[in-house]
Amino acid sequence: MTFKPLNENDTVNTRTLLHEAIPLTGSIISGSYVTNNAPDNIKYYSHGMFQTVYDYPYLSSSANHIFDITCGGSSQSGLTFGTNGQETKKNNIYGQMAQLLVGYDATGSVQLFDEDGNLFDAQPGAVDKMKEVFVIPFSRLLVKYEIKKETFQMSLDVSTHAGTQAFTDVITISDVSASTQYRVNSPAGEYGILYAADNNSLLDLVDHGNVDRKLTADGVDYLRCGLIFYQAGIAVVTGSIFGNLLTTPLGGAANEVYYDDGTTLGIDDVIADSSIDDCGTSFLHRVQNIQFNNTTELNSTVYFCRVNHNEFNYSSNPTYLENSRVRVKTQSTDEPVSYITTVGLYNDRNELLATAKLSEALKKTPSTEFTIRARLDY
Amino acid sequence: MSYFELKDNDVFVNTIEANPDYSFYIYSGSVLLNNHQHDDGNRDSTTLGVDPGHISLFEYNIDRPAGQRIYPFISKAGNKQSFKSLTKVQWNTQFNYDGEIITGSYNMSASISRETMSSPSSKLRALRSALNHYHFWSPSFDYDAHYQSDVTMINIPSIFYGSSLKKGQVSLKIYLEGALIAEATDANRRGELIHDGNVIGTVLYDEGMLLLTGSTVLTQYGTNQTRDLRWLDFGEHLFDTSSMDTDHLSASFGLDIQGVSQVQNMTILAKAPEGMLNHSNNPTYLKKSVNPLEQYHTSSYEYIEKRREVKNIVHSEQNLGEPPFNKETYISKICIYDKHRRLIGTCKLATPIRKSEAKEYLFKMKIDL
Repeated sequence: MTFKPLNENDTVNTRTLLHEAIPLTGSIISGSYVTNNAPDNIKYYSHGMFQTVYDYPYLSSSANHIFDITCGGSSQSGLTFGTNGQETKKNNIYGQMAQLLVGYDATGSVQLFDEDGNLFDAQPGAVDKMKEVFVIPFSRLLVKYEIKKETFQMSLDVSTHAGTQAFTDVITISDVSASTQYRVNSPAGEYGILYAADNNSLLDLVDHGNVDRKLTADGVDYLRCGLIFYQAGIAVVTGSIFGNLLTTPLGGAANEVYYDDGTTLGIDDVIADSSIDDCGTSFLHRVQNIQFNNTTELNSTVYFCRVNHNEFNYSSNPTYLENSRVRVKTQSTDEPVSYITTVGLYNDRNELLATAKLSEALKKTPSTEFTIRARLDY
Repeated sequence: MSYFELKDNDVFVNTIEANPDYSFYIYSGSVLLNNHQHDDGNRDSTTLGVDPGHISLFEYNIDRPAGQRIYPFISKAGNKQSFKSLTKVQWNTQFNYDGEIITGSYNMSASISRETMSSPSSKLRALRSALNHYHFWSPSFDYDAHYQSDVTMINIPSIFYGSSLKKGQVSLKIYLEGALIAEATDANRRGELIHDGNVIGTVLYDEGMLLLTGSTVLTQYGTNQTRDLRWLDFGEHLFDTSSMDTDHLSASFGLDIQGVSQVQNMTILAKAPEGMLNHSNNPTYLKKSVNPLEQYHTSSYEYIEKRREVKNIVHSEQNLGEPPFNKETYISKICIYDKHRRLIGTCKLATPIRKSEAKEYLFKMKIDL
């Protein structure tokens, strides 16, 4: 066995991005696992602050947590948020999420979610603040290090439909252009703007005096409708997605939202008067599909083990000798031969740290040279 | 923020040994894992997305039909990263170098496998070095003496046991019409599988292999055509029902193992000595001034900050007046730095701990390596 020192030209650190495609279809989220009209894959809590969605009945050990869903409303909103403590809960949810994701202003006040990420707008009179929001924190199991930019997409039904009815009026929410247009002014990391688009004239694309309300990219008109926080793995969707972003806003007796159990509520009532659990359920029944890609960083160090022609041609293995003679040589003029099977990596005190095994032994003679590339992933 | 150097006695590493327990029951060519019945999914044919009797690697795609499954992918690049399921030839020939996407699959599974051989195959020859390694325990590992004729090889993937099978915890059972007729164990913990005092095979603990050589007839079974039942027949028709005849379905087999899985665990002891860590650099540690302009004095020649008082946060049960001042802090977080003072880890307390000058604490932090 021979030691050969590695110098700085023999090692290189690399980083590979491993992605996963995460499809969350509506059938995974709701409708597949129902007992007595109650979903088995959605866990409700007595505190009623959020609900947890699993991909399988959550009492099974095989179930994976996929995301939580909740809704919140700012105390600066013009709406009142119900009775039985619901207003406090929605205010608290909004405040908690906003301080986590948007942070504080110079006076120490929690900032509001901003449609375009420009937090220097005057508050609270600015028109691009989202004061009633649905919040979807995705499981770290799915997000891993971060959501890959410009891969998030959600298909959402904005019709006044019963739970059993097929999705009819579907809009698509996505983080268009986010790979270059993402924002960095959040304490929770990078985030992108969510835009809504549709093919059925469901969205009200008139700017109503707010020229930044609309984005046109590749001939498609989009409306800003939320934020997606990539490292935190949290999507924030404005409550207006069922309201004034639509040509015909839902709400009122004529445009009621139907629940699976046959009860109805106007969409304003869903956000304002019903419980957080009902808000979440109402939203989940409208999700046709969510998909995104995640990212994991794989760090590697590559060691280039250079075997020159005049090196490693002999072996100190006892089997290399036979009757005190080198086994592979019969005459002194014969070339020595060895077979390289393993590369050992040692520290500066000659302590073995790692070994790299070759799938097949390499024949080494004085007329051959090799560079063996040993990669260590961590 | 104060720094304290960790001494040798403040850091130690423990090894925790776990012994995962698995049982396989083989009947009619199918396998029951840990006596669990196979679950049919609502939306897919299987809940776990793997064949019955198999363990799912990550249990990621639960009850997801094809097309709705989570899958990994990478862009092909010069650093030659790839998935293990892809051969070198496929990597070289099927993907371009312009960042083409290489996809993998998460529905990966593992289960026991069985192979019979009448003379040493290449797989058995590859185990010769391992058999020689175990030879000092028992002459039953002698390759030339015991493995030249009929051998049944049972392979247990390492996902079931960890680093090795636990000695003395391997048990094989043969049932006929539901009744136990023979059991072999490695009770002497040296790799010999013993039934009625006879060695009927060996266990390679580190490799997760069972090599069965027992050819003694245990009994005969079958109604139309009788057949010998031997230890060599253990697990016959495993995952292979094509060659199975209905006359010999009454035999079933049980395999119980325990594994050895070791996890290293580092414990760090951080001491908060008495008389120390009683001051904070946090701005909230000082009393808030009413007028921020009164906090400093400035002129053409000087800039002097005014002295500010430390806030009195001493806890008192009485509300008659402010308790006597005492320097107190609340410890909420411990940070661990390397020798270059680069932050490498933080440990947060569930509840901040009040630290007065008279008190000292020892914090015990653990991390799995």
